[in-house]
Amino acid sequence: MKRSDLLSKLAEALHESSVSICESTRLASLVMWDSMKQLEVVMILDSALGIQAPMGALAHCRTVGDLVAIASHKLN
Amino acid sequence: MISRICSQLPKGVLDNEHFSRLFPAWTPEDILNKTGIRQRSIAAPDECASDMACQAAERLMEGHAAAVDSLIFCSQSQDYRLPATACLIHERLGLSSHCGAIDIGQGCSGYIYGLSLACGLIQSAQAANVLLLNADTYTRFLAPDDRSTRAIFGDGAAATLLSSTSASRLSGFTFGTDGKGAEYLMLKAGGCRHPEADADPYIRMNGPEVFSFTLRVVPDLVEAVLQKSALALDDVDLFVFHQANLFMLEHLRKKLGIPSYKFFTHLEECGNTISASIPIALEAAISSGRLHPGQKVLLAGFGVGWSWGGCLLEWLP
Repeated sequence: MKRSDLLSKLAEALHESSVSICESTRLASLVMWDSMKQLEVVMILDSALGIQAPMGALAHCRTVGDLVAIASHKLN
Repeated sequence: MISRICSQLPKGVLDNEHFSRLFPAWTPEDILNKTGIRQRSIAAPDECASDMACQAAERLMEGHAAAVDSLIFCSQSQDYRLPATACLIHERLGLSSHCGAIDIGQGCSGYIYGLSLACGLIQSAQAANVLLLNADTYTRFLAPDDRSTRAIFGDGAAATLLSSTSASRLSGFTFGTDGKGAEYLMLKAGGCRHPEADADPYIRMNGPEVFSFTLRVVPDLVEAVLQKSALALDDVDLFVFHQANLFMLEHLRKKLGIPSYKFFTHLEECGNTISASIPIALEAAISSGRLHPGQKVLLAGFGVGWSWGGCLLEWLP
């Protein structure tokens, strides 16, 4: 999978009408960034790439790019 | 081994309409869609896990308490720090003084642990009739403003009778532990590590970490149980997992390649009832006709600890 494809999937899950999702988007700026949205991210990483974030990794993510980086070893 | 199962839920509930009034950012439909839960069972302020466990046990035994020679109470909501709540339950149920009684402090994997211990007692001829009780009142320990935990946890109990004369078989027991995950589902107050009066009195859960954990361990757990049982996935008639939340369960089902008609869920009307969730679901599967005599059921419990366990049940009541 390409990095841009994963970003598209994450952007679709994180979509908010007033925010354009890109790798530099800060997660704290997303109104709907809550535990339920984080579950969706976990599901996307598992469904798309068969990976689970290392324990504690999600808590250190500050941007959408940080989420993508979790899967960097599996991306083209 | 397993003869009968009886569940007991408290009368109180927190439904999605009320929940949405508490947390307006989520509509009742949002909550149902995201969790698969329509309402959570809520114990009364003066209702303990042991109360529900006793009610389930009394219906289960129907006057045959004298035959029970071992009692296992699995809970993380004990009556007191000491004595063991199993001793108090023993007294309330009028069990024989020759009956052993013990608490085990396990959560989501607690039913599997309880079954395993009961099996061991029976197979080693230390007991003939084991009463396994699983009960919790997690809702007592939830922060009023924590919508993620309040959305999913419910209170409930189940009583399971395991007997040396029962034709049902339990096999393939598999367990795992990873204490590095302990901090992601924890209640700090009430123990000896944080005796201070201002220790955090609430359950704190990191839902995404819990989800990641289940995706890491449950597929291998299922595979291990199947291998120990010399079965393939298709040989199993029904899968009953710990009823954590429907979103997680449905993703697991797809990941494992289990057809939906073989995957039993039962949390819409009670929520996640911790170690009681598997036996409550089993009872519902039996009473609704989803589980027939002669069928093979794979049970898997996973969560707080991190702790996980699985086994195969051949249901022959």
